[in-house]
Amino acid sequence: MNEHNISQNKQAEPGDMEQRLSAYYGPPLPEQSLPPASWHAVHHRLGVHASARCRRGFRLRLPRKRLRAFVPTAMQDAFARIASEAGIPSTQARLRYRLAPRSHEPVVRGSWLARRTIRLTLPLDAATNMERDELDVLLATGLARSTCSRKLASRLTRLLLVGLMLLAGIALIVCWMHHLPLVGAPVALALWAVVAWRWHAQARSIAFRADSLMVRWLGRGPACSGLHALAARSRAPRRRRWGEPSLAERIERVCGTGVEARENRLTLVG
Amino acid sequence: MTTCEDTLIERAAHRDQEAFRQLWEAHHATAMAAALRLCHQRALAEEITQGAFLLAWRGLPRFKKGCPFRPWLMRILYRHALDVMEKQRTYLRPLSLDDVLASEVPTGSHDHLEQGDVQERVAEREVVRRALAQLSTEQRRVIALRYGADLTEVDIAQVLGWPVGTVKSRLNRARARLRVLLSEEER
Repeated sequence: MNEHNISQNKQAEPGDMEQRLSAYYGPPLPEQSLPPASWHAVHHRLGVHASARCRRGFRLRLPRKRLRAFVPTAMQDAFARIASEAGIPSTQARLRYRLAPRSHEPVVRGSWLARRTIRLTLPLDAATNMERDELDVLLATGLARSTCSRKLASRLTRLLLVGLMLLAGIALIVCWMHHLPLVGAPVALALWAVVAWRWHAQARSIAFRADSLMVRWLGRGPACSGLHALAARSRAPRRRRWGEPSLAERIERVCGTGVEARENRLTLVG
Repeated sequence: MTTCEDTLIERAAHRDQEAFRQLWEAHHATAMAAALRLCHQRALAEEITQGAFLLAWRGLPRFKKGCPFRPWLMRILYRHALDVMEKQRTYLRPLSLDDVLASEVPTGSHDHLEQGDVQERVAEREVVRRALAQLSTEQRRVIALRYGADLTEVDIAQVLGWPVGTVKSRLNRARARLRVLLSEEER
């Protein structure tokens, strides 16, 4: 009972709480003008909505896609700068950006089949406190990978691999229909394994070639600084993913140092 | 001025993008300021502003002729801002020094501030942010509109589409809960 009374006495006064809430949100802010690029982002989407409405009459309505975040102005500017450095007309490259509150690492992907679209996914904290070099490295990586994987040889290889995968699937179905699953399954599995291994190897090779391209566009200093910043943000910079070299490998190739070299230097300075 | 804006609205409702650009020019800075005050993050506020204008573009054909444009736009903006902030769980993310400076002081005048003062304010806001994070979504919405947008209970009811009585009771419950949470934080 006493404890209850004490806790009631210790509760914030109503006026105090109101003041703290007002202080939290602050006074009304003066007008905050946005740069023209911000209008361009809206304008671009107006066109999308208008054309979508026109098509609605004769087009099958598919389930709604997950809403993408608008690309912040600073990011658009950085992307335009890198694209111009790479000699890619801004009309041919498109940046798509998504916030992923539950992820911990930024991810960038470049398309290899359709339009040159770079998909950047950022965790919430990275979206607000990302360094310029870090962002440049991510955008340049996406653009460079897209450029490398859109070369004819890379595309043909990938199409061949997709064809092989389909062939393996068909072989499995045919064998199944002829009551020969024991023959079909090992063949299909072996083909799938070969395809997966080749795909992985090709994606890694593209990633390394793209890193060379990125260094040419950004310069080795900013590229290294950005890669190190990404490694510092990552929980596992040495972890490899399928078709993706680890950050440690990329740093080794681009900067000629390991992740630990920077960690040691930071420790010494500290 | 109003007649001119009415014409712009009329044209924009008929999908005239140039007219809509002029509406953007006239209102985006106010909308951005309101969004920044609510969410404290410049990038997110810009995203909210752009999103609100897109929603307004879609809703313009249903806009009632003769009504003022800005209050209508601000209602859309507040609703959208609250949705985005809940979706992105902004209340779970600690406030940074940059967030506080961006949402508090006009650019260029940061030099006047004492570093200690700012850090103290960040710490104080962090306490409130942690308390807000523990409220229910509805309670957070009414608190944000009451203290982050200075709306009356009637206006809040209009923005959220709730009866005024519901707004009042949720606001009272939110205040009571906050009082307890803030006092617990202090202990």
